[in-house]
Amino acid sequence: MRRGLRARGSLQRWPRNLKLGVGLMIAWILVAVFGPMLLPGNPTTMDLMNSLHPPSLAFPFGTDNLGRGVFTRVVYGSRIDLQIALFCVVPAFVIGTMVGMSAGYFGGTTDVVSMRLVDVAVAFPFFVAVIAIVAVLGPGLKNMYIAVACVGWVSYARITRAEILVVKQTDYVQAARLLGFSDRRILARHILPNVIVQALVYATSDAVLDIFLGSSLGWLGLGAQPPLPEWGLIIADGYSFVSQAPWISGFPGLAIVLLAVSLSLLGDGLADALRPELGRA
Amino acid sequence: MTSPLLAVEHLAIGIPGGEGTVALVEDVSFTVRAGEAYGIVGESGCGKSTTIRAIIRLLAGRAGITSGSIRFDGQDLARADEATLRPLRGAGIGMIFQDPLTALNPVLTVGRQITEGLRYHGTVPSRERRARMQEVMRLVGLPDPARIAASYPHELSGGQRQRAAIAIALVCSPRLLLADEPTTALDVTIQAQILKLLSDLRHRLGMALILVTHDLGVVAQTCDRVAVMYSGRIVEEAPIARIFAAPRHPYTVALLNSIPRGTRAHHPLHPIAGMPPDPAERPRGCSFAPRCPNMQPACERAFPGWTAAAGGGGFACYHPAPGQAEASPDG
Amino acid sequence: MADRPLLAVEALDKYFPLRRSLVAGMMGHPRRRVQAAKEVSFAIGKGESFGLVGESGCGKTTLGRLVLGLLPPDGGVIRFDGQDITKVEPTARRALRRQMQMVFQDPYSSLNPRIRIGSAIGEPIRLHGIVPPDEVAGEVARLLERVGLPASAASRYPSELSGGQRQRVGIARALSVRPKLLVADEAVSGLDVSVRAQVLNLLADLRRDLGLTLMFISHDLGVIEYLCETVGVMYLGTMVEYGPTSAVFARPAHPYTRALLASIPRADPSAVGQETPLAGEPPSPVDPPSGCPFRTRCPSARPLCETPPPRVMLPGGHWAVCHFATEVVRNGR
Repeated sequence: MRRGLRARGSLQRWPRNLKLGVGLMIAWILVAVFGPMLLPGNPTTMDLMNSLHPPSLAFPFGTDNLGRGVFTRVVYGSRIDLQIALFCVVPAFVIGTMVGMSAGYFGGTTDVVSMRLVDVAVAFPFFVAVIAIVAVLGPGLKNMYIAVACVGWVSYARITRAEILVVKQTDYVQAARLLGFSDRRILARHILPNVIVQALVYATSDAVLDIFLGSSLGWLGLGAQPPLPEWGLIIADGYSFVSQAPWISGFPGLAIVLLAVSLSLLGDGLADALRPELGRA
Repeated sequence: MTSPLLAVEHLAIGIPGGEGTVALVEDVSFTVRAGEAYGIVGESGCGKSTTIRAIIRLLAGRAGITSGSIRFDGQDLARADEATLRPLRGAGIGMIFQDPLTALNPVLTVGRQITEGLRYHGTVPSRERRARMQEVMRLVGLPDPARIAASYPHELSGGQRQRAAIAIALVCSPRLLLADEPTTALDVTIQAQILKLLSDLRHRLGMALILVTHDLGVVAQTCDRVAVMYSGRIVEEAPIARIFAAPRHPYTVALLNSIPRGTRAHHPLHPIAGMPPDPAERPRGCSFAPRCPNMQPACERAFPGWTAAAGGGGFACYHPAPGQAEASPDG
Repeated sequence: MADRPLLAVEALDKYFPLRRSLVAGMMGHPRRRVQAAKEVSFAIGKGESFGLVGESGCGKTTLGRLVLGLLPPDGGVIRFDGQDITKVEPTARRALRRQMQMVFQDPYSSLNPRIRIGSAIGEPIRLHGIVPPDEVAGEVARLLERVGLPASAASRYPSELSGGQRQRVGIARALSVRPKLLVADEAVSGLDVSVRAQVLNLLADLRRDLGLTLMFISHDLGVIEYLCETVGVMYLGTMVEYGPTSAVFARPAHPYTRALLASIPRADPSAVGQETPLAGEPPSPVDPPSGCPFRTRCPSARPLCETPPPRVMLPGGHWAVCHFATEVVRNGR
């Protein structure tokens, strides 16, 4: 009480890593949305006269073996890779938290059935399972999204369930029951806000993983298909020219790292900002 | 009188921070004679645990001794380095904690943890260790030493765990035992057993005891002298009988009036209004002044000096309760 | 009927089955269970303050949760205002439940860290339509002031309050639905001495001013003696003694109550315990001793104690479950 009212929403109170993470993610989204409009070139137009051009004023990141500007391709690629992060994480997040929530809150048969499903899903290593599913469904981004949704929800379900089991026992949930609140109200208002944070923080690191996955599958020829300027594909294209033209693989690699760092900062920042101060006043 | 076993003088403990050091303990002085039981009472956050942890230099986090001395057997522990402290911990000074479950290592047997100190300090030849372990276990009233020595902490009950923790503290025959809320986590019948055990051990081994507690009843049953701490300072010190019969500091008076005592049943309790100050925002004068019924303008100007009381001890107050009055005005 | 007790508990049983290994199950070993409440009976009159005392694991918390309907009993009857709450259907139960509220032990986990104090108290008021919607804020302010907090506390989060203040919020939240019975489970145990006295006085005032009935669960005999008119003593899931607080404290009729009273460290150095403390620790509630549950620690146990002891009625509504209750009273302090 001695302390002043803590303004939860005010920007100044945000942890520094959250500010940085949010700033970087906004920058990435601006690049993805407006970058392609501002660039004169086309990511797929070949110009064999200018192939393997080192970075210069005309080609800031140099050109690849087909004379395409690596900068243009990386900027266009940000659209694809951000889309990969989003489409891989959101379905897994939604399915996983819903399964975890009902398993944790209602227990009993719901819990047993969903947790056995989880056991089955984790029996296969994540990458192996995704590659296997994509191999069956056929290469392409859409099938990759389906594969990740099939496997990725498991972690969210586990995290949410574990958190719910803890929160369900707290005195404030018992108090809510005594006050005559309905199950739906208790779940939505008293439990969910306290359990979703963990899943949300995990989602940011999961997004990093999914971008690496997208790039790896692209590299293997199972994800995005050429001539799409997906970063993994660009790296794969430059692979044969690494010694002569390291910029072809280097710059998209740098972009992946930078996006991963942005997402981790966002995740860490969220974890710091959303953690309720349970510390004794 | 012989020189005291432990003499703490003008001890100050603080945490360095962005806006200067936050003082947890300020200007604390007291002495403990060999074989004496000294109590430190106060509410949470008053600095009582910090004070005794400082004695064996087990301060948590970034807290550190900022000034003052802690003289144990002629050595100043406040300035001693780790190499000097190591033989003293355990062999000179033992310590027991509030929660016996977290104070014991869950993956080692109780016997192993009791003999650990002997092994480390090397004071007892290895073939005699087992005998010494059993001797200490009998001393603390652990039945069936052989079985319990082979058990892990989670297999023991709460009372047995605290007895085991006391055995670990006693195995090297310390001359001073520090006990930080040793019975707070225990049930009342078990608490009575442990308090009786501590008193018996003290008499039998001639060991001094510093008992930190929030419970005035525990102090009354166990200690010879007591210090009352409030917001980082000792505000009153007295022989045990006087503190209950004629408390001088208004905080001591108020504390005694806030506990339900059998004889006062259904008389209203007189709680102290408000809360202790935040250590970072202590008032300039007496830290109890904002809550004190006897507050006068002078109290807000400077912290009152120490006044010695007849019959030992003293208090830090400009307007103390009268010397021979009853424990409370309405009593 | 004016004299009907608000809460009447009769022969209440509660067991918690222990997890049994698969092999033990196939071998047909019986399922072991923890006895948390065994044939517990007591009643609390309207406006009365009843104290339930016992050491950890004696079943006092379970009993509180059974009364509130947070746990289903395995046998027995709980009558609240004449209705058997174990038999009413769910919708009626929800309405009944609202008349019994709880104050929890841990002021740090009893408030949702993400909900402001004002909403925590206002939500049940709004939901149950206790006052018209435009008066909810005023009602919250009134409740906060009633428990000794400034109305401005409504805009705070729990983390901004001290333990004592949170406990006051917990009390205000419980009062928001205007209950008849307040169950307080170790509600002052986590608080410092001076703050504890504040909360105890608040509870005593509320009871007097609002005519609340109080069931106060605590391990602290001093607190019970201060606050309660009647007291029940629990040991290993059974209520071993019950009666007016003054009678039970002055003339304990069960050896366990006597030992409990003798164990309190009195804030009086001249009364250093002459009595030897009770030996041993409570046996496991999984296999409680046959006959009297206390006989394994009882200083005056005799062969007769291996048979179930009777409930011995003493003057003034005071009873004890001990073969030798009258003898214990006579030889008492």
